[in-house]
Amino acid sequence: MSSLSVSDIGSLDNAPVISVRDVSFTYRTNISRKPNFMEAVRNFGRATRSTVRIDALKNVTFDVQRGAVTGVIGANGAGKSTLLRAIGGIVPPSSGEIRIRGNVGALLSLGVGFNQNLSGRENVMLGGLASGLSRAEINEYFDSIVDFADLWDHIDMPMRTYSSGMFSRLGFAVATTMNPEILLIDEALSTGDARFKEKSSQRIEEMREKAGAMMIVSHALGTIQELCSDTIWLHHGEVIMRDTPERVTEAYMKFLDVGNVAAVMEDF
Amino acid sequence: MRFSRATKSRVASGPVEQVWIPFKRQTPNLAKYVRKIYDRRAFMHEFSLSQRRLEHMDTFFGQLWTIMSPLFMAVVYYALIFIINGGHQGSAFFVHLISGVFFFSFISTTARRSATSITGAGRLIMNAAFPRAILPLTETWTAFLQVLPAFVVLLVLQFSILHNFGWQLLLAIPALFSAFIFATGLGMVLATANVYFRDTVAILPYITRLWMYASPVLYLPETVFKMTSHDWLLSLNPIFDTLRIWSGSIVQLQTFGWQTWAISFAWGIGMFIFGSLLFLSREGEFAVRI
Repeated sequence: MSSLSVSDIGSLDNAPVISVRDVSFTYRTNISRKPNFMEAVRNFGRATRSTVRIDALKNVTFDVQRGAVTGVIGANGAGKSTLLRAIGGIVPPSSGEIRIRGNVGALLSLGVGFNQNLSGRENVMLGGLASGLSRAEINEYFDSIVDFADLWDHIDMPMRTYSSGMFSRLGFAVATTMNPEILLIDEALSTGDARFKEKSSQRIEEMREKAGAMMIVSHALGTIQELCSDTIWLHHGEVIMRDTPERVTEAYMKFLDVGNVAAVMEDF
Repeated sequence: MRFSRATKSRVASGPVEQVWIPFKRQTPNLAKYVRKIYDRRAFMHEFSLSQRRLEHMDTFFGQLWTIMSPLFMAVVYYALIFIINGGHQGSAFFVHLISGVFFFSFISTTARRSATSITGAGRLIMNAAFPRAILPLTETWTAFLQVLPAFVVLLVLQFSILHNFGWQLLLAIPALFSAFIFATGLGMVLATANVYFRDTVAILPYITRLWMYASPVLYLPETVFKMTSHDWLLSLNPIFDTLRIWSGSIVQLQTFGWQTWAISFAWGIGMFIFGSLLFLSREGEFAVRI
C-alpha cells in the first residue's frame, strides 16, 4: 500500500505492539453499486452527489501491549472490521497514525485468494501465497494443512464441489498456517462442524500462545470473555468503553437490552 | 499479512515497526514498493498459472486454440480484404496481416484482462495487504504467455511462406519489449479507470476495435504514409511505430532509424510511467471503492 512506511527501530521492548493514535477512517462510496462513466456524465454540473460519506472510525485511540489479547465488540456497522483492516495495513486511515511492532497475520476472511474452479490442492498453494506464506512453507506444511482440514479424499477435486463447511475448513487450515507476532482475527472462529470447531479453537489457542499480541473481533461474547485480557466496545466508529472483558460485555449487553443467554455468548 | 524473507530476517534481529499513515494520493517509495512486489513473485507466478489452468491454456488444445483464434481472425480479415480489393494482396501482406493481428491480440488481451484485475479481486483486496500492482502486472504477464505460442507460429509461417532469414528478425524482440512495457502501463491505467467507472470494461471492445482499424494491422504502414504529408500525425497512435518495426522486421527484414525506435520506446516508457504513477497514487482507495 502506498501509504505505508516501514522502519527499523531496534528493540523498544516496553513500547506497545499496536499503537492506534487518533485514527479516523472516512470514505466516500458510490450510492450506486457499480459506478459508471454515464452516471458521472449525467450527474456532472448537477447539485446531486453520486457518493455518500461514511465515517467508519472516529478518533480511535488505544494501545495493545505485548502478550495482550484484546477483544473488539460492537453492533453491526460499528467499525470493528474496518479497525482490524486498518491495523492490518489493508486500508489506510484518513487521519491519525497506527504503529505496529512486529509482523501482522490477519485472519479476516476464510478462503482469501481461493478460486472455486481450482482443486483444493491448487488452492492451498494459491491461498497460502496470497496470505503471504512462501512456496517452501506451503510445501512443508501441506500435509498438516490437509490433515487438519480432514480433506484428503477431496483435495484433488474442484472446490466448487465442496460444501461450505469443507471450504471453510480448508480456508481456516491455510490461513492459520502462519506464525505472526501480531494476530488479527475477525469472527473466523466459528467454522465447520462441532468436531472441527473444537480443533479450530485449539489451533487459535496455539497461535495465541505463540503470538506477541492478538486482537479478536467477535459477536460471541462468551469467546471474548474466555480468550481476551481486555476488550474494546466500538459503537458507530467510536470507542465507548475499554475495560476487562466481563465489565465491557456486561455493559454492552445492558446497552443491547439482552440477557446472558447462550445465543449472545456463543458463536451460534 | 506480510511474511516475506526480508521481514522475517529483520524480525529475528529486532521488531520491525510499521507505520500506517493517511493516504495522500502520493506515490510510495518506489524502491520499497518494487521490493514488496519482488517478495510476492511466487504469488504472481502461481496466480498467473492458476488463471492459465482455468482457461485451459496449460493443455495442448488450449494452447492450440490460443494460436488458432487470432489465426482464424487474420484469415477472415484477409478474405474481406481480398473481396474489397478484388484480388490477392501477396504473401508478404498475408504475413504482415498475421503478425499485426497477433501483435494487436497481445495489446487487446492485456487491456481486457487488466481492466478487471482490481474489480474482480474484491475479496483479496479487502482481506490481504499486498502491493495492488501485482494484479494488473500478473494479467499482463498472463496475456503475454497466452500469445507467446502464436509468435512462434508466426516465425514458422514467415520462414515457410516468405523464406526470409536475416539478423533483422531479431529487431522484433525489442519491438515486442516496447509493446510489453506499453501494455503494462495501459493495463494499470485501465485497472484504475475500471474501479471508478465500471463501464470502462464494457466500452473497451469498441475502443480496441477502432484502435486496431487506426493502426497498420489491416494495411501496410506505407499505405497511410502515402495518404498524408504529416507523418508525425501517425505517431500519435501509441503503437503505430512499434507495429511498424514489428511487422517490418519480420516481413521485410527492414531496419529503422533511431527516430522510429525513439518514438516507439517513448510511448512504451511514457505509458508505463503514467500508468504506474496513476495506479500507485490511487491504490489506497481501491479497498473502499470496489
